[in-house]
Amino acid sequence: MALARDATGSGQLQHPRARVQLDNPLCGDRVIIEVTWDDSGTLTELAHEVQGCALCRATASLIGRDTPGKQLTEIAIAQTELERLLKEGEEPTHHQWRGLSVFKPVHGHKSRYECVLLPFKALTQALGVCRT
Amino acid sequence: MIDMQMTKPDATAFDPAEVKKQFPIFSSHPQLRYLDNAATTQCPTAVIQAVDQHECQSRANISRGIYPLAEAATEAYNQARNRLAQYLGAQDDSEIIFTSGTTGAINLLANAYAVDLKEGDEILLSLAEHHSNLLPWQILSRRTGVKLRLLPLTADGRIDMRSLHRLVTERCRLVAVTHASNVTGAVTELGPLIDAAHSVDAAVMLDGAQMAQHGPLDINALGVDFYALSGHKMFGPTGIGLLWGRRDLLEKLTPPFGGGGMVHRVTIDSFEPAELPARLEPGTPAIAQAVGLAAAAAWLMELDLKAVESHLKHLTGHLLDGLNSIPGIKLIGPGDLYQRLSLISLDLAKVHPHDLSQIFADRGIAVRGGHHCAEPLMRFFGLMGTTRASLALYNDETDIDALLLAIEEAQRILI
Repeated sequence: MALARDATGSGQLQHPRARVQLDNPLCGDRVIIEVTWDDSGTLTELAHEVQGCALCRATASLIGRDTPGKQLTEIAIAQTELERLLKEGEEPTHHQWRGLSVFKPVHGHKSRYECVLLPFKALTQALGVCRT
Repeated sequence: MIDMQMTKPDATAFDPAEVKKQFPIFSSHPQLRYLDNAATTQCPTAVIQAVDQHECQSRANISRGIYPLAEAATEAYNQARNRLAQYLGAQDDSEIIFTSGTTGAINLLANAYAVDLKEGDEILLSLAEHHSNLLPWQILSRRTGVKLRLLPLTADGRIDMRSLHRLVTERCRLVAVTHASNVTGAVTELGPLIDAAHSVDAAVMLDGAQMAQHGPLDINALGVDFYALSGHKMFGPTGIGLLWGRRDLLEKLTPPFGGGGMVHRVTIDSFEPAELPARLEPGTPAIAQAVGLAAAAAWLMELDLKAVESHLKHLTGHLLDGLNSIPGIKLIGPGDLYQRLSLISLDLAKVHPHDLSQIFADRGIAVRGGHHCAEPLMRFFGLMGTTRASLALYNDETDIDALLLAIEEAQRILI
């Protein structure tokens, strides 16, 4: 709840290089992610707007806190780590993503996985724009 | 159908604990407080045994085989149809068309209408509709150019009849609305709707998904032309429901789907459809599920439904009183106990419905959070979703009290 309340990175960027909006059709939750990156492949800025539950807002907040300044290749690992944590209950293996452990209590609650993953899926799509 | 205007809430006339014993799910999950009955009701032993017995003793395809087992299956299926006709007060068994549920029934009707309607014809819906009574007509509209019109709502979510005569035009061919909303619980006022539709020779179809668990209907007294319902919302199996229609109207429908069992004669380039109801039921139907649905109807018909309705009104009143005493709660739907079913949608300020539902789930309380497949209605209320508690006859005051306590706990945790 603290992570959700923090809403780190909430807002809009003035000049985003990629903007992705994703909806969860099950509940109507909506996530908008905006990002910029530099020529070295580093995420320089990220902002998000979330209409969603506490889990969705918490993930967006974690992304807002932990992804700026990271290489895009590092960020790509995070969604895989998160999916493994949710579905298998396995702790993140990469030290820079240990913070994802906050979502371990969601393991086993299958109907909530999408709530947690939605911001990461939006981010992954935005990074896809970057790669192209 | 119970006249709810005449029913007074009475806490003592009905013993839910006795009824609850007939539902094995509560033996498997003794701590379960099941308040998601608008989505799916639980099955009593009578229904489970009927399905089990059919599958163990009478399983075969229907209407074709001449061996005893096939004849037994055919007989069971026909008896199921007869029982459902009784439940609806239909005079003619062949007016009962088995479908996969309400959604299947409305899609069947929409596809049949699509054959005969033309651009410029109109279908009148309301803003309160479940997606199942919206999307089939949107698809029809895209295919045919038929215009969809929408009845607006009052501030508390009831269908607003004031614009009825403006919206029911000479081009109107069908009025298709909910009998009772799955979000607000509001029961639709039928009289003016049916009069207006029939004045221009338009048919009326009711989405009866939420009404079906409240006991037998007198379909002819209702005055509608088509009625759709689902088995799983009236204590029956999933995957089964029905479309009832007036025989003369059903006979005019061009069968929209083809397959085995629905024809008299087939050549390489044409076919002659069978009589009702087979012409609208191609392929092997959900036979055991139909038998189970009939068992559910029979089980409901054995109940003292006035006592059940009184019990549900009492519980709904108890829940409304409790919710009204909690600050920060906005109730969706009519405030009048007698204009609504026993389901209540609420919006708890600053709390997402899924978070509230999770708090409930952690305490063994099953409710539904989200848009309830009614996104236009949610937008009307300016909400992303609501948390919905929907009651059935096996619920009691302890379920309501647990829910109210959990809301207060949720406020402490989530706000």
